[in-house]
Amino acid sequence: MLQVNHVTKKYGKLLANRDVSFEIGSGEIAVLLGPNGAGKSTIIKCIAGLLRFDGEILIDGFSNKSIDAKKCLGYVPEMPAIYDMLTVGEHLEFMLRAYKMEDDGTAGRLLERFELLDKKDKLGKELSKGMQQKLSICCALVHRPSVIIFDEPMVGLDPHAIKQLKEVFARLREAGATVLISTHMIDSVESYWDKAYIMKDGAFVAERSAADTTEQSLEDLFFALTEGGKDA
Amino acid sequence: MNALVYLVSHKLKNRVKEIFHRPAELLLLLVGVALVVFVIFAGNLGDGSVPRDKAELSAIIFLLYALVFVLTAKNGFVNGASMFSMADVNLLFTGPNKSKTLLSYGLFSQMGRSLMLGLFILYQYSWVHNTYGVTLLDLVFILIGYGMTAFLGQMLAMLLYSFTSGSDSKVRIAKGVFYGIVAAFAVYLVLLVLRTPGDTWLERALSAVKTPVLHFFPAAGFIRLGVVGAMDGTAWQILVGVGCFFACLLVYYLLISVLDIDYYEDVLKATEVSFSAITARKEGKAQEIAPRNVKVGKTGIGKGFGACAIAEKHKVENRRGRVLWLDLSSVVFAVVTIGFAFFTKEMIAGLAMSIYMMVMTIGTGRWAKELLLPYVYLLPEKPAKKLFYMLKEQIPALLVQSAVNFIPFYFIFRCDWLTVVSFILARACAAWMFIGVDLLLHRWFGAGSSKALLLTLYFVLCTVVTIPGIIVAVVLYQTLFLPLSFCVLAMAAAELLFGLLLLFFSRNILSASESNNT
Repeated sequence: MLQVNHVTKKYGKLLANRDVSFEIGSGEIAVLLGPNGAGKSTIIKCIAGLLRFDGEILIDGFSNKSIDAKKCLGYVPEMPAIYDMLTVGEHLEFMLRAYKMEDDGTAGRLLERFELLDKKDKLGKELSKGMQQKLSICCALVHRPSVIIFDEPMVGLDPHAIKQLKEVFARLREAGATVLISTHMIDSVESYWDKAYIMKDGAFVAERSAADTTEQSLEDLFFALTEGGKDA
Repeated sequence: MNALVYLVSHKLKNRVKEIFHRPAELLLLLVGVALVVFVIFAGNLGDGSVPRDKAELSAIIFLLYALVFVLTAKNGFVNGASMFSMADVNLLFTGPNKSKTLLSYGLFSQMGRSLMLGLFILYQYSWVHNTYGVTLLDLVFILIGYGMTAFLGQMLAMLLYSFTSGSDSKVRIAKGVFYGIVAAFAVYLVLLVLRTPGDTWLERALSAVKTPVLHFFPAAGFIRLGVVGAMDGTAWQILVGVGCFFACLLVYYLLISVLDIDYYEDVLKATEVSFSAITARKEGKAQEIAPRNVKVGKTGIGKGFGACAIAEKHKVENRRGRVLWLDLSSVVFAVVTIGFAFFTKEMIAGLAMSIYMMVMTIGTGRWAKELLLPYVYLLPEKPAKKLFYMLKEQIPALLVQSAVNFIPFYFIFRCDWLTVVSFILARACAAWMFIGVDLLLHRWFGAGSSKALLLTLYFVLCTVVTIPGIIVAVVLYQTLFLPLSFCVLAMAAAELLFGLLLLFFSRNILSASESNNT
C-alpha cells in the first residue's frame, strides 16, 4: 500500500508539488497523468525517497525514507539507470545482492520476458536505449517489491516490450502489488488502471476510479482539464 | 548579413545576455574576475627579484603544450573531436552551404573554445611572476599559445579520425606513426639529457630542452618558440612560430578539404558522441570513461551482500574499465607534479601543485557516478554504511595515486622516506577533505542547483578547509623548528580530522539528498 499525505515540494521559489495526497491499495494500479511540467516526476521522486519534501509518504506503513520501506519499493526512473561496465546478468545479481536476496528464478524469468536472456553477457553500454529501459525495469522488479513506481516506463520500448510490460502490470496486480505509473501516453493505459490522477501545476485536479460510471473518457477529461483550465 | 556571421554574432550576444539573466553565472564570472585581479595584485606584492632561470619556464611551456597537443590529438583514434554542435550538423550541413565555408566556421568556433579552456593559465600569474618575472602580457602570450596548441590538436584529431574511421588497419598504422613520432622525440630528448654536460640533472634537462630540434615537434615546439619569442621581443622567433602554426593549419585544412574527404559523415559521428555525452551530463546520467573495446572477462559479482555489494560491483567495473587504482589523468597529473617539483627544485611546491590539481579531479571518482544513479539511494541499508562502501575503493586508490606522485621525490631530492610518506599521507588526507566538501554540497544543495554556483562554492570551500592544515604546518616549522616531515604529518592529521568531520556531516546524504537527476 502507498499513502501520500499532504506532500509539498519546492525547488527554491518554484512550487513543484502543492499539498498532494492520495492512496493506492494493494492489488491496485494507479496512473498519474498530466502535461509536461505538471509535477508528476517530482512526486514520483519524492515517493522513491530521492527528494526532500514536506508531508508524509508511507510505503506498506513505513516512512518512505526508512530501510523497511526501501525493502518494499521498486522504482523505474524516466531515464534508464544502467551501469556501463556491468553485464545485463550482473545488474540483476547486483540488485539481488544489494537487497540481500537469493535468486528464486525471477531474474531469469524477467530476462526471458523482456527478451534480454541472449544479451545476458552484454555490457550495459552496449545496449540500445530501449534495451537499457527494459533492463532498468528488470532491476526494479527482480527483488520482488510490493510497491512499484514507474516513471514514463513505455518511452523507448518496442511494441513487444510494451505488451510484455502491460502483462507485468497485470501479474503484479494479481500478486497484490501496489503499482503507480506516471505517463503522458493516455491511450496506452486506458485499459488497465484502477485509479487515475490528473495533475496540473503541481496539484491534483481530478481523480477517477475505474468503477466510476461516466461517459466521458479519461482522455476527454484530461484534455478538458489541461486545455480548458477547469478543475473537476 | 551572411547567415554564418549572423549565427556567430547572435550566439555570442545571447551568451552575454544569458550571463546577466542568471545570477549564479554572473556571480561565478565576477568571482573568476575578482580572483584573477587578486592573483595579479598578490603577485605584484613581491620584491621584484627573479630567483629562477627563465629557461625553466620555457621548458614548462613546452611540456604543457606537448601534453595538451598529444592528449587532444589522440582523441582522433577514439571518436574524433567535433568542432560542431548537433544543431550545426542538422541545420547547416543540410542547408545550401559550402563544406569549406562550414569548416572555416567550425574552426573559428573551436578557436574561441580552445582559448576559453586555457583561462586557468591566468590564475598562475602570482607564482610565475615571482619565480620567473613573467608579466601579465607574457602570460597572455602563453594563453594564446595554449589556445593555438589545443586548436591544432583538435584539427589533427579530426584529420586522424577522417582518415582512419571504419578501418582498424588504418587506425593501427596511424597510431603507430603518431606514437612513433612522440616516442622518437622522447627518446631523443632522454639521450640528449644523458649526453649534455652539466652539474645537475636540471641543468642538463634545461640545456636539452633548448635544442633546436624540439622546435620541430608538432605544435608544441614551434608554438613554444613563438611564445617565448613574443615574451623576449625576438622577432624571428615570433615569425617562425606563427609561420609554422599557419603552415600546419593550412596543411590540415588542405588535407581535410582539398583531398575530398567527405568529412560530414565523420563530423556527424563525432558530434553525436559528444552530443550524447553533453546530454548525459545535463541529465545527470553517470558518465563512464571506458575503453572502446571492453574485455568483459569473468562475469558475475560473486561476493558481498547488502551495502557491501556496492564495493564489490566497483571492483568489477574498475577491472573492465582498466582502472585499477590509477587512471590516465592521475598518471598525467603525477608527471606534471614531478616535472613541476623538478624544475622548481621545491618539494613543497610539488605537494602544493599535486593537491591543487586534485581539487579539479576528485569529483570524477566512481563514487560521484554512483550518486547520479538511483540504486544507491534505494538500497535498504543505513545511509552511512552505504556511504562507506561507496567510498571504499578510494582508500587504496588515493594512497596509490599519492605514492606515484611522491616516491620519485626520494630519488630527485634525496630526501628521507619519512618525508615521502608524510607527503603521500598529506595528499591522500586532502583528497578526503575535498570528497567531504563535494558530498556536503550535494547534501545541502542537491543536484538541481546551479552547477556554476556549486562549482564556485566547491572551490571556495576547498580553499577554506585547506588553510587550517597549512597554518598548523607553518607554525610548527617556524616556531618549533620541527623537521619538514613532522610538519607535513601534522598537516595531514589536521586534514584527516576535517575530512572525517565533513564526512560525518554528509553521513545521511544517501537518505536525504536532492538527487533530482535520477
